[in-house]
Amino acid sequence: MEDKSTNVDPIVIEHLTKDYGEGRGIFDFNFTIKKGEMMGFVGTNGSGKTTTIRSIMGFIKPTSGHAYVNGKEAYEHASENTKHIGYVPGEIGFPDLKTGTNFLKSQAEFLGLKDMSYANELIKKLQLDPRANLKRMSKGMKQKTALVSSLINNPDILLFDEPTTGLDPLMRLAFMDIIKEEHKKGKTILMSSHMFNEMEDTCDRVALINNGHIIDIVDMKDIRNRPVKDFKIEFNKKEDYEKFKKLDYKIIRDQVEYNQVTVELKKEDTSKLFNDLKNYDVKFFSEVKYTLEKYFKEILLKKENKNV
Amino acid sequence: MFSKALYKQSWKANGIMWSIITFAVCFMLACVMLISGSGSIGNMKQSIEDTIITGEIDAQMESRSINYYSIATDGEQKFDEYFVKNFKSVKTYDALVTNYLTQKLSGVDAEFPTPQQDDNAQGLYALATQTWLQSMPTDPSALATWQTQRPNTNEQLVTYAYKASLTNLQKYEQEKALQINENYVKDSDESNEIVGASICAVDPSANDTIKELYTNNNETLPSMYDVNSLLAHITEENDVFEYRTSDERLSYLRERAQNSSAVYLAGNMTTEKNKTALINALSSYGVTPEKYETFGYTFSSINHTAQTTIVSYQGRFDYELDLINKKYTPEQRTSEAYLNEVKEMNEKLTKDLSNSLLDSLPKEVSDALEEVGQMDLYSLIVGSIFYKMAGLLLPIIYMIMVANNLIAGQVDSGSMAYVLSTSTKRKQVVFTQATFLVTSLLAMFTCTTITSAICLSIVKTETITLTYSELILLNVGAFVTMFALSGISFLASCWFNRSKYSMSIGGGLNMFFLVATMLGLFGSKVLPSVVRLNALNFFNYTSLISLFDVISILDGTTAFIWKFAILIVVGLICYIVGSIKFQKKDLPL
Repeated sequence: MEDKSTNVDPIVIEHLTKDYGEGRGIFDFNFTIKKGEMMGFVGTNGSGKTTTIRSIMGFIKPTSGHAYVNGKEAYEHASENTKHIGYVPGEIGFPDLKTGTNFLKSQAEFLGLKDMSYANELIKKLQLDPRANLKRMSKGMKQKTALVSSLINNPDILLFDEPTTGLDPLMRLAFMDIIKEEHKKGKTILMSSHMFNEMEDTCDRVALINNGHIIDIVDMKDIRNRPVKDFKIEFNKKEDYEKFKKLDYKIIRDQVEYNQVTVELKKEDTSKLFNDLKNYDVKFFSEVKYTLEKYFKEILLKKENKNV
Repeated sequence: MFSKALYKQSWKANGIMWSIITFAVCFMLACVMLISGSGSIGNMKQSIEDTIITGEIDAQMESRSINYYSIATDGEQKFDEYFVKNFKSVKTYDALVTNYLTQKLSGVDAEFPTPQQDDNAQGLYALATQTWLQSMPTDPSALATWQTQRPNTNEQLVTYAYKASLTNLQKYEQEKALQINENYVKDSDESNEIVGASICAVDPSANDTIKELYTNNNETLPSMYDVNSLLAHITEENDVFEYRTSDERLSYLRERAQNSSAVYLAGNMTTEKNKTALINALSSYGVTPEKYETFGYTFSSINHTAQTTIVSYQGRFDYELDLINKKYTPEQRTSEAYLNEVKEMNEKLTKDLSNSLLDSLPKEVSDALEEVGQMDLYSLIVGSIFYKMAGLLLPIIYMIMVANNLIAGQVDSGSMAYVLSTSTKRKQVVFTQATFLVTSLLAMFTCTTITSAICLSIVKTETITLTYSELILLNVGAFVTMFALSGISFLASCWFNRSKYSMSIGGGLNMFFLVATMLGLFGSKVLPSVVRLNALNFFNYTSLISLFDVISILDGTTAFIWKFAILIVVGLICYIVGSIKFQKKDLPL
């Protein structure tokens, strides 16, 4: 293993494969997360998100390929690497200690940490009462406690495995705020989720994982600044609808029963569409927002078609 | 290698359970040691011992009474034989002396007939006659009176024969003793005993020691030995041989022998000298003079026992003899085969009647009773039952749960992720957790050691043979056993990611060992053979706990040391394999 410890990407995944047999596992993962970048993992349950994160933590030994953290092989150097990683596991199970405070103190002791000021700051921000009994904590409280414990020593790399699953929307927002804040501080973050909208707002890049394969990695800038836009138009009269269809627009969806069409056009052609529509009796007009979800659905659809 | 934070966390997580279990074990131990040490066990053991001891004494008595009885009957018959012979020889001699006197008085120079060598009766007669001869008066007028004083009346002849026969008998018995054992020389205790048994039957007054047996115990001396019946048969048709073996004579001899043997035995056993000797011999079984008194061996009780034994012996002897007689014609009854058979029968009979308590029970039972007598119940309860079984139950439960909590439970719940994400190496984790498990068990057994030492100091009496060093070895043994067993649980905990598998394999195996030890106890040597089920001994070969050799520790042998070594090696291997596995495997965290 060549020494890449200076000025290297925090997380490098090379041909990472973990084969659990029967097609389960992850196969030939390749990606790099740059310093300060936030990457998202989306995918269905059991698609391999957690396996990838565990590989980075060095908890499992890859069948082949490597995961590097700060240039150091993840499995071999797990204990050194984890100094720089804050980890919130998908399944929260705390050690057999009495209260959240006990747990956080114990974690600080493990890390050789004397200064609890950052932890206290986080606790305040999350409105967490750490004196509560660990066993009787609600899912949200547990998640908050886990988050605090992962950030307690201010690590550079953060791995979140479905951190918001099972949280109510308000709690989720508070959570995402903290993550965003950490991101702003320049931390490298990898977060998995099966919620597309969470990713859209926060991540720089999102990888779509399906059945153990990376289907696509998309830069969110490309989604946000797409050169084409979709509009949905509904007409009051059938004649207008027929007439409009004859115009030179790329119709991607046609719903005859509602006299409705969805057109795709370049950003700069938007004014042309408005001009054209002046002459029609338009009942309803809206831009169809292009989402990550839509993007991935298209990709998956294409892939399926190809396979068929 | 060692993570102080993790060690602290493990104590926080398992400390309460440790305290509860340790308290419970120490409490149980204290109860077992104090209650079973408070005396009731000793009493039970002593009463069993007493039964065995009195049984042995009774058996000895019965055997002796039959022995005396046969010596006595034999002696009586021999005496009859001697008497007849002596009387006849005295009669012959008397004729010779009369002849000599007639010659001497008529002035013929004759020589006094010399008595035959070794013929005591003739000797006595000669001595008496010579004394009489020397007192011959010079005055012829007194001569007639002097002549009537000649010591050859029938009564005097009988006395000569009688006394000579007694001497003969004594000699005969002394020779018999020598034949039995060449150390039984004349005047040895054994020789005297044999002589005494027959003299006592014929004429107790002839010996002062024997006479005392009667007088000291207020027994009336038996009437004079009946020689007149013999004389009656000598004079008339000279059918004395037939008379001597007749039923009439035999039954007279038997009754006399029966009474005399019983008195002889009872008298001998109640003399201070013999009593002291007996108590000394039994002192190793805890028999004190006071205790001996409680056994109730008085003159009359021994006399009674001896009489009944002899009666039943004689009854059975007659019956058995009858059976043998049926197989032989009267002519054959002098043959070697017949005599051998009678001898064998007699030996068997003597043995049967004098069976000691242990001999008469089936062998297994008698072994068991003997074992009970030798068994150290207190050590059995503390060692084999508490330290090897009951006392291990709670520590095993603790160990199964903690071993699982330390690794598999944390992997299963996911809390291990927090430990490992703090740059704590897996090696550190596994080493620290193993250290915790071993040190917590060590602490637990340190507590039991202290508790047991205190309890022993409270109940320690002479009857409790358990020593402090044995007690400490028992505690060490229990810890070493727990070390090996905890190795198995720890290995299972390292091997599996799921608590349920770790628990069922590690815990199941350990519980199996414990249950096998419990079942095996019923087949093991520590239990008396009556309650032992040998089939269950098989379980001892299936349990690792069997290597905790309590018997060896309590017996003071060294066999337990290499067994401890095996346990330690098993434990070490399990811990090492477990820690390697934990460092190598994938963790679902």
